[in-house]
Amino acid sequence: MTSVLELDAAFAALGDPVRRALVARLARGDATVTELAEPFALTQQAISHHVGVLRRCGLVEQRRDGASRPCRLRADRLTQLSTWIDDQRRVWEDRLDVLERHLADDGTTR
Amino acid sequence: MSAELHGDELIARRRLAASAERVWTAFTTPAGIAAFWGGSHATVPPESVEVDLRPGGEFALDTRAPGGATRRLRFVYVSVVAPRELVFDEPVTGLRSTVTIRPDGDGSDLIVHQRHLPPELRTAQAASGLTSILEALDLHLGRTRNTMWSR
Repeated sequence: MTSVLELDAAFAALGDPVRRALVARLARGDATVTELAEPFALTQQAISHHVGVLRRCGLVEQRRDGASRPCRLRADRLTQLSTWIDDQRRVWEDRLDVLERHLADDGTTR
Repeated sequence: MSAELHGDELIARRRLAASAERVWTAFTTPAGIAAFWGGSHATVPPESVEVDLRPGGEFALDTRAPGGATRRLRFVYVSVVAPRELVFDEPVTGLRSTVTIRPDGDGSDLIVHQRHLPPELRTAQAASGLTSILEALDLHLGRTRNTMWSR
């Protein structure tokens, strides 16, 4: 079950540029922490921390594959976030269209 | 309070051919809110709008759908900085909205950010409301879990 805390945590997690970059990398395919660390000037420990944050908010999952633990992006969670945001954007864009007309009409009567 | 908050989502940005003061009036007076809040799909009766413009104060309104269905919306002001920034929470959905109005030549630049409320500010009622929405979204997406993955 998706919890409110997970949704909050996911939005907060994506506020960090490194975590956004990790999500973008994982969107291209599964990767281990070692592979994820390669493009960054960060230690594997730091990347593990970021992966942990992404795991706890449900955006990333890890499986055991022998000695390695590849990470996978949970695209369904990203879809949830984008659906939520898209709905809000549609509401506000419509609202601001009407506001714009209101201000134009209001301005002509001043 | 800055609109550029950690974890915020940019929802909308619009250049308006009206001064910041006029945009602020539209957002903070019953007549202004009634004129646009329902968008193109609902109307807001002006007499239904209540505005208590101060941190901790509320604004509330009725939205009326074309079929006549009416829904009461209620928001709580977090921050009121006239005429440039308005922050308000919607307890039912758990959303915090930040509306920033910046003077721009002979008009103004309007920016809307949203984020979910910090858990400590959310009521149990609001949390259950948001959870039920997300559960419905889950069903809609037909989400399936692969049990071999750990979380």
